[in-house]
Amino acid sequence: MLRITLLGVGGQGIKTAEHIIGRVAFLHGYNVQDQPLYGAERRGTPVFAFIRISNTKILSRGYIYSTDFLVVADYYSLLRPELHNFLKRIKKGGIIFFNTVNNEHKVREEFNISDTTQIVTFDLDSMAKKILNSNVLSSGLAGAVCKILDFDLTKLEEAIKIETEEILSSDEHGNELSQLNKNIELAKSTFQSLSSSTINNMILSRDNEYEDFEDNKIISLQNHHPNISKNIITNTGNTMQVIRKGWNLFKPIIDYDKCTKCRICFVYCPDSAITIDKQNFPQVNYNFCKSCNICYTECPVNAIDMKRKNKID
Amino acid sequence: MTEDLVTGNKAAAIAVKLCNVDYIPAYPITPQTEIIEILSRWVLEKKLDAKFVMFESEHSMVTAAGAASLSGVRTFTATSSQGLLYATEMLYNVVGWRSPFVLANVSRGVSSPITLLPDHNDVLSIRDTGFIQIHAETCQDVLDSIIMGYRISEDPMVNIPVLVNLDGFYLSYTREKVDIPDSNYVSEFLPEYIPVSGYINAKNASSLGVAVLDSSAYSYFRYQLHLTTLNVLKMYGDVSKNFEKIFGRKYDLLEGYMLDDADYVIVITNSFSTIAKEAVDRLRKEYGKNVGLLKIRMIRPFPSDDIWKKLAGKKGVAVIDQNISVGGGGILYPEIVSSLYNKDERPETILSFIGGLGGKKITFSEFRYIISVLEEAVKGNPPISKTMLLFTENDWNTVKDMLKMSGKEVE
Ligand code: SF4
Ligand code: SF4
Repeated sequence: MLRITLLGVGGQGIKTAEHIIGRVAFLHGYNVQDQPLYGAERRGTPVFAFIRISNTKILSRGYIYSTDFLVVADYYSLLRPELHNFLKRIKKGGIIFFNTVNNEHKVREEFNISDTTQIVTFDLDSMAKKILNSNVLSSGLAGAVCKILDFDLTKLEEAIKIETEEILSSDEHGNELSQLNKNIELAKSTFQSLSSSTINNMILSRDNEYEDFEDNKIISLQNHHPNISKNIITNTGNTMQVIRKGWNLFKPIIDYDKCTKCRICFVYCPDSAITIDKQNFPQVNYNFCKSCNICYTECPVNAIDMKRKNKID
Repeated sequence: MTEDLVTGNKAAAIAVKLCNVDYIPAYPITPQTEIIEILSRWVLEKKLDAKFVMFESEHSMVTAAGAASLSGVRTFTATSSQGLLYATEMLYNVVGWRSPFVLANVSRGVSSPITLLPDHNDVLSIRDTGFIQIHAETCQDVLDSIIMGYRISEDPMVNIPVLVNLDGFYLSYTREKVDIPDSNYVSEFLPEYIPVSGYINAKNASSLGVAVLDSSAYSYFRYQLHLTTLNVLKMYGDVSKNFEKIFGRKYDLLEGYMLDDADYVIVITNSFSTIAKEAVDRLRKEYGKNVGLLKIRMIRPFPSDDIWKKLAGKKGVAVIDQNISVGGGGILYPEIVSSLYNKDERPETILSFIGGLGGKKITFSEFRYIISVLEEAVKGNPPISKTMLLFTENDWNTVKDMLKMSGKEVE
């Protein structure tokens, strides 16, 4: 069985990428099971997706602990410690795709990845920006994964049509066709820029192999004092401890010449990442902004622009 | 028949379409919302000839479902978690009205604390309402159970609503291959819904759901519900045979997996059955353990006799409850024990485990642990606690970090 894990943030199109990849495998006649996993259902929050592909019936379900093929759509997510674990759990001989401007050597060094794991790097963000003029990566990710798995380009096109039909038909400007074609173009360009690997044959031939698991001790919980066991937060303000800049792909830049100090951005920011300074101007704290675009959308005088971040700062 | 890759939620919507449902009262809640999103889209696009009405709460939604089905229209509704709890008062009522319809519950742990992932405290907390409950393991199971649900619910000898349960995320958003039957097969299995007794008809006025202040009468009606529901266990065999004849898939009240020659049995329900089956395979192949599995598919009415037949003569049984009756333990455990207590050849060791709360995956380490505790108990060293939580050192470390971050002092 081939186990694929996709890792990204809300707004990148991770769920749709999963759907396209799963569909391509299905069109190839494989048994497929795929599933997204997310909590906050909002732009900027971590999103995972799992895909199982097999020649035989899939007797498994849910979270994939140890993956054969990790697809990293958001490079900076890996700096979050809990997501970093994904790297450690790659199955031997597995492969990682990174959406990044960095090259293989740099990535290997930065994340300390051993030679037994193959690495493919590609700057999908720039490609998506060029073709779609957006940061939605779904069809590009699918293009990359399908090429690496040596899947068929025509099946990829068919899958994109099937999986984006409903999303694109709700486009209010009636640009479904051009949007679809652009998505196919992005998938094709990515597909053609990469080379296939042998991971497909290798892993599909190990159909009966079980997933690696962590040998974990089962413990017996004691009753704790309500000071501990009540579900309350006693040190209010601890949000400050959870730096979320790793979720942040774009950063809002305020043009203070245009800003009228109306405070609308301050009111609407769901993470209170905007404060008001002594001069009554809004200030963004980038440690907590997760590029949800809300301030950018709400500002009545368009004083806010969203700029792509190229590194964690 | 066509094969497609669909989520559990979409499988539910497809079943509704195949059953030619006329009326869909709705209210959104994660992870169920996708079902009503798909259905409302189909109604809008005229792919489904039904009336779709959005209500202001699940309480009204269930009331509408109960009333509509008594007027002779085939009705479907869906909810999750808090939504099901909010509707509880009316769930009791619509059973008392003997309204035939199908409700899909997409399981999600109940608040507080709030979560999105599944366990069965929502659906099992309404087990006493009288709803017939079918619990699905796969997306195919979801589609098939809804079709079967209408057949059972609308049977003139039953007329009790059916709840089909599917786990949030593990089924609701998980896509797998589903065989979608042609609609003529469904019409062959599921005759047109024609209410025979106790329905709303302007020409023949009647009073439904009337007050019964006399306690003998109250006892009579309540116990009739019980007897009618128990009858479903008897008629189910025919429904299932007929279903198999037409669709080629067989669904019993219970499913045994590697069960016949097993000494040790894991009892489980819903989508985690798949995870447990994988563990059973592995325990047999890699560890040489003689383990089998029993999945309970119909939880109300409770198939006590069938459970006894499947478990008779086994050395040890481990019941995994994906729920917790606070202050009691697992909800299904005592029901299984009482199904066996007065019987011959009952297994002497029956242990209670709680796992998968809030969707926490039951890992292979946990299954291995279950079997080792079971083996010890069979040898005469029973565990100290009556109920054991499947909770690992890693789980505790994660929680500990969170507790610390929230300002608590833990060592
Ligand atoms: S600052 Fe703007 S983009 Fe950042 S979280 Fe707040 S509203 Fe969203
Ligand atoms: S919404 Fe725009 S104009 Fe108003 S305070 Fe924010 S940046 Fe300034």
